[in-house]
Amino acid sequence: MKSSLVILFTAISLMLSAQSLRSISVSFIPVYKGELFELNDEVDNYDITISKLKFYLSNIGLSSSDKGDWIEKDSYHLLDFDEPKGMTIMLQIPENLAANSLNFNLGVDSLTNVSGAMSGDLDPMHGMYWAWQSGYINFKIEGKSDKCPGRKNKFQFHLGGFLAPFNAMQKVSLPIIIKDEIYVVFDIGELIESVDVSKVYEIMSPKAKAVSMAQEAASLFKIVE
Amino acid sequence: MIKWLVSLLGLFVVLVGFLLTETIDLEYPNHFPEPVYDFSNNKLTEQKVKLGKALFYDPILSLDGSISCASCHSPYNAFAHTDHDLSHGIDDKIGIRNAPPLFNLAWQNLFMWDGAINHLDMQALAPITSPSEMGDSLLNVISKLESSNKYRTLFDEAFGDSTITGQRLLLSISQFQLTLVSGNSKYDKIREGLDTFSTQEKKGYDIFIASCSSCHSEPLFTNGDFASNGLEIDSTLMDYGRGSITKIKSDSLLFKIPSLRNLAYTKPYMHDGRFEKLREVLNHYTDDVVNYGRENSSSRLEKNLKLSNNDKSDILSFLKTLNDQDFVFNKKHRER
Ligand code: HEC
Ligand code: HEC
Repeated sequence: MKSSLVILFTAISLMLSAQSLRSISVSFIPVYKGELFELNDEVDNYDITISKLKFYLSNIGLSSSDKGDWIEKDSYHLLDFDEPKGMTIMLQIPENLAANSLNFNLGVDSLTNVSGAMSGDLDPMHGMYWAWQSGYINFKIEGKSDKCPGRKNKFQFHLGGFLAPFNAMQKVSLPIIIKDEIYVVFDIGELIESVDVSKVYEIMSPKAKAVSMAQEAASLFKIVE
Repeated sequence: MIKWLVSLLGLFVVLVGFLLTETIDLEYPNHFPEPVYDFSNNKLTEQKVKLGKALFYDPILSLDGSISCASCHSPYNAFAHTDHDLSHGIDDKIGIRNAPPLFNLAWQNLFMWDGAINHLDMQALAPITSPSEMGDSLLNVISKLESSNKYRTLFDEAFGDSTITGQRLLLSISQFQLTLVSGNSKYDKIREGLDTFSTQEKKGYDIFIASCSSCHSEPLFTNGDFASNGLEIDSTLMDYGRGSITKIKSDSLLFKIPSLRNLAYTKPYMHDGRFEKLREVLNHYTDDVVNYGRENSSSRLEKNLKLSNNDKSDILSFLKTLNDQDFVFNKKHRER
């Protein structure tokens, strides 16, 4: 009895180690016009404070032009700048994977948007789900600026929507060299300037503006060499 | 030897646990189609239904602890709201719409009069949370539940541990609502061969099939789609229904086609509760159909229906056969 268990155990662990895996981290670093910043502190040299920055990344994968793709299973990650570890994703990839691009979706796919109550990062308790019109908020940024004519100078951009023509999810593909730690910056300053908060300071539902702002956001991710 | 006993005991515990949370099948009449709700992701169990029911009747779900789901969806009204004034609702939007009855939700794909909500599980978020602080207040509800012994026990019984998540909360509320099946009216008994229409009911049924069933189709008495039945837009509300959700022009002024079951308990009628009596509803269909000349005419009633006063009386007599007393008076659905 005992020996058969031992055999079973070694067989399983052998099978597991045959598919040997490598762990890499991908960290996302928001910057404002090239400079690091903190939540709830006025950004140096800019009349602006960011109070919330949260977004979904999904379907993370690595690919190379000649070999196939590797895609993470059940790949949904809520990144939250307010959580210390909230901006780093750990990936378990095949040891010998050769890839030259990192791919992900900024946002949540439409199937998941119509599939009811989810768990983990997709649990609606994280505040990334609209109550009055079903759908995930793919990307949320809030803050204030004196330029902003809204209530208490606040701006709120909640980008989402999964139905055509206002499907806000964006595909992102970045050239990379695989290493243990990958860093990706994205410039929130460029995003805020692209909308001009003195005119547009509130996007709270699926619409054309949400899609164009999501496209802008998706274009800002850059690998740190 | 002892090891064997221990593993046997372990197996027993697992088995008992399995039996205790045995899944139950949704009961519904043979003449109903298959439900559209995907039960494989949320298998019904006694314990989850019980938890969902407790939540449905508990004002702990509202931000200020003042109203429960049942305040607007009363079991005595087939889970509709007969009080027209909804101004104490939680969102501005709620004040302009009539609370629909809740039954046969397992056969419904889209929820709310405009179909804004695409899954039963997600519906409860709307009343639970205020729109601007949504996530935070769901967390707040969860923390209120976490500090309640009653709910920790109920969640434990339902899910095997007392962790409370948004998903678990929503799935349980769905479970209770899914059990609200109305399928035991006189009409249903006739379908099962257990009863027969009176002469007048039969006349009404035939007229109904000819004039109404393209939208209010058997056996649920809705085809689940959105349509315009020619109501004049209320200029104080300017509610464009489905169009304001899809932002598609041809959806403007379309509303969910409601089931016509249990009408005796669910007045007032229409999305804004504009009619108090079924006679008024029928008079609308024969006298006041407005044609706004919009696109998508196949979903729109474009002109008045031709029905005599006798026809109307016959239809009303048929509609009465859709009232399901067994459902409305079912103690199982009540708070206790
Ligand atoms: C303040 C009154 C009010 C409360 C409280 C309330 N509802 Fe409702 N409910 C409504 C109204 C009004 C609608 C229709 C809204 C619309 O069409 O925009 C509705 C719609 C619904 C629907 C969709 C039905 C359909 O056929 O489309 C469901 C399901 C529902 N409510 C369940 C609940 C649950 C569960 C709760 C408690 C968590 C709840 N309601 C609390 C008023 C209320
Ligand atoms: C073109 C589709 C269509 C046809 C045909 C139609 N209806 Fe309707 N009916 C609707 C829609 C849509 C509503 C909801 C309208 C709203 O609230 O804006 C409705 C609402 C109702 C209501 C109110 C139900 C409630 O719970 O508020 C009743 C009663 C009703 N219809 C009865 C009838 C009868 C009887 C006929 C035939 C004489 C009929 N309908 C024909 C689409 C239709």
